[in-house]
Amino acid sequence: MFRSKTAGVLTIVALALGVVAAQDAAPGFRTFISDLTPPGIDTGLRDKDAPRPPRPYPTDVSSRDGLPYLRGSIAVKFRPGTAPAAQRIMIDRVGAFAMDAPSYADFNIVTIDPDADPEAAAATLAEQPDVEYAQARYRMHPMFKPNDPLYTEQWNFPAIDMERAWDLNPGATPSIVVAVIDSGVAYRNLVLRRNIPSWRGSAGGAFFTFPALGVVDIPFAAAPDLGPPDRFVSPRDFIWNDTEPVDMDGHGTHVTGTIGQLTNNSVGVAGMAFNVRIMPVKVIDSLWDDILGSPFQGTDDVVARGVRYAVDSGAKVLNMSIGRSGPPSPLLQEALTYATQHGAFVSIAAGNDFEQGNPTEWPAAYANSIQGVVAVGAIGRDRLRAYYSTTGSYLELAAPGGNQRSGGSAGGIFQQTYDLNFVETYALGPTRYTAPRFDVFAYLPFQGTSMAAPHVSGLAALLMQQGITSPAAVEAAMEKFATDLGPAGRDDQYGFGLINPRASLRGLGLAQ
Amino acid sequence: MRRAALVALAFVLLLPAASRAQVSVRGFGDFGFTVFNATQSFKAILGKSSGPVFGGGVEFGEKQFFLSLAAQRFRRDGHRVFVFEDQVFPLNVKDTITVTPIDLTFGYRLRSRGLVPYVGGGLTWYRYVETSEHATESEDLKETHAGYHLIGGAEVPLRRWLAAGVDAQWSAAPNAFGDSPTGVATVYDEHDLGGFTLRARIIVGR
Repeated sequence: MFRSKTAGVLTIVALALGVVAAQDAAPGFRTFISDLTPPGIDTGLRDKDAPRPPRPYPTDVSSRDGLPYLRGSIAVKFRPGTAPAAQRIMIDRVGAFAMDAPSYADFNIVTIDPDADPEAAAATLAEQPDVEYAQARYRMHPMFKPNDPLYTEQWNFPAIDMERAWDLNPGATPSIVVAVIDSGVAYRNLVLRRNIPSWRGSAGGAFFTFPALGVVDIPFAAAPDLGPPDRFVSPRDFIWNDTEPVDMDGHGTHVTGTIGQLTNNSVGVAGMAFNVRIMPVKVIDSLWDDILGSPFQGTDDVVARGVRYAVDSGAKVLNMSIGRSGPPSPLLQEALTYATQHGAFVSIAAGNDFEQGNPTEWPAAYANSIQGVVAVGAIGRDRLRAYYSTTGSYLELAAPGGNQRSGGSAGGIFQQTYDLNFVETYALGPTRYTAPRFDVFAYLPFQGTSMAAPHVSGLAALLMQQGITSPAAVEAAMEKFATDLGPAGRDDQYGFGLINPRASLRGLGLAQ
Repeated sequence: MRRAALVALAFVLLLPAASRAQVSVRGFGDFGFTVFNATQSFKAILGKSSGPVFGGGVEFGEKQFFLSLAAQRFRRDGHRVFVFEDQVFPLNVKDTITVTPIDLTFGYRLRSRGLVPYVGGGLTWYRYVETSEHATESEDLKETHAGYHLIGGAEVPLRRWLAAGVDAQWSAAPNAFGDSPTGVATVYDEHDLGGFTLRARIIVGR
């Protein structure tokens, strides 16, 4: 009897969940139930935490199958003037089902058989005479390394003489808009009501099954040290296809802090260009985005659309602390060219895979062929190339990215982001697994070329405010005044050297 | 430069003895307009490659030959810049240029009465000072460069102790700048601090 009663209750609960799940919008759409939430909680400096385990890699969230690209679709651009009928004939050759023209794009997304090889289909399509390019939809990821959160100090700004640079230009002004093309930003308060399903993930060789949590209210808050809501302009989420690019990872929020953390406010830490306005453009899906069923992932085409959107919406500087290895991406190359042609400077993380064979990283590798786009490598506190920082002929500048292997926790880049104890709730295993909270913040040290690139973005914002309005000239000014490191002249480890904000902002006198 | 100074000093000492004539001493004040030889560099920093100059000096001479020692001053505020592909981007950092040429001129008067044309030439020492906002002491520049000049003009007596004149002066100070990696003169490959000056002069004395 008791058993049957229990079963009955469980059935009711299951039915209730089913009803709620049915009320949940169709997969890929989400409902924010309120924007009236308490302000974010600041837990301060986290210098006593134990090292965090690596994040689990989900093995059964449908959008993550371990491949470097999406199955079931490819991106293609036809030559101007190609008739729709001719386009149809060409895509039929790769067994295409449909073709969409997404917003903020000059290419099409072609749906193909999910079992077909997207790279082979793209190659077949690229051979057609009226096709400018075709490529698989490669996934991008943030360029940072896991770290040990032991706070000491922000060594990175003195390392590039920022205190004296701020004398020349105290943090730019709100007239400069910097787009953070990333995992989103903790820029506003919201509550998301969403069903959290069961999922299975691997971490450190072990597999875990995390239980379904049902429908929960997930709180989001603006990072207290990033500023008021009116500081953020034209937010856009290309992962959820809406206008609420809230961060579910912490990466984009940390990167934004380096660019523009509120400074001289007696709170927390500083940022490079602390008066600029921020445009959050979400193009990277985090683990929680995937678990919650985001309709899009951070593929090349999504990133390219984010770039074009940011430029069309008035951003003058674009920070891209993202990338991937693998084949080139013509559509990203065109998006970057579009950005510079429309007056926007782009800073891109060079990559963190030096010890993984030092592969060519995209879109960073386009930097040396497009004036106004810069690939940024990382140095540690010792002013030496960080062990992970990718090298190559496309590397143009170096900036502090942190090196905790040689510098310990203090060798990371400290900015405010989520307290990861409330985000990585899976870290303690399925038994202590809970729903995430995105309203608790801490000052954490990250390392990676992801952390180096926003130093360059911040400097670009200052230079644009200072009067250098051409992206190509901004790049030239940074390279001319960089502090040469490594072998004399440009080299593949440091590019033209470590950025020198003060010298760049000071420019040229008549004789000296 | 030391050699040139010795030559000039010898000339000053020998002039009265050589002429055995009445050596007059006159003072003058002048104002004029200078166009610098380093046209692009001055234009980039100051917005124009020319500007007004003010000065004065003293002249020793007899009927035909004279020796003058004169100083002038050019000072103008501009902005530091960045130059990329011939486009100049003014930065919001004030930059002040002060040029003080000191001319030692040996001249010859073509006539002695009425409208008196004259020609001359000599040595110039340029005091060049460039300062900018938020600069450290080592970033500001205070230098002296040697050069030379040619001059031609005419003066007309107004009263017994008063005369007025106009002249044109071309001067050069090669290799005065153009080597610093933070100088726009290096970008434009301009090295000459001299220029062309048109001047009006009021002379007091006989």
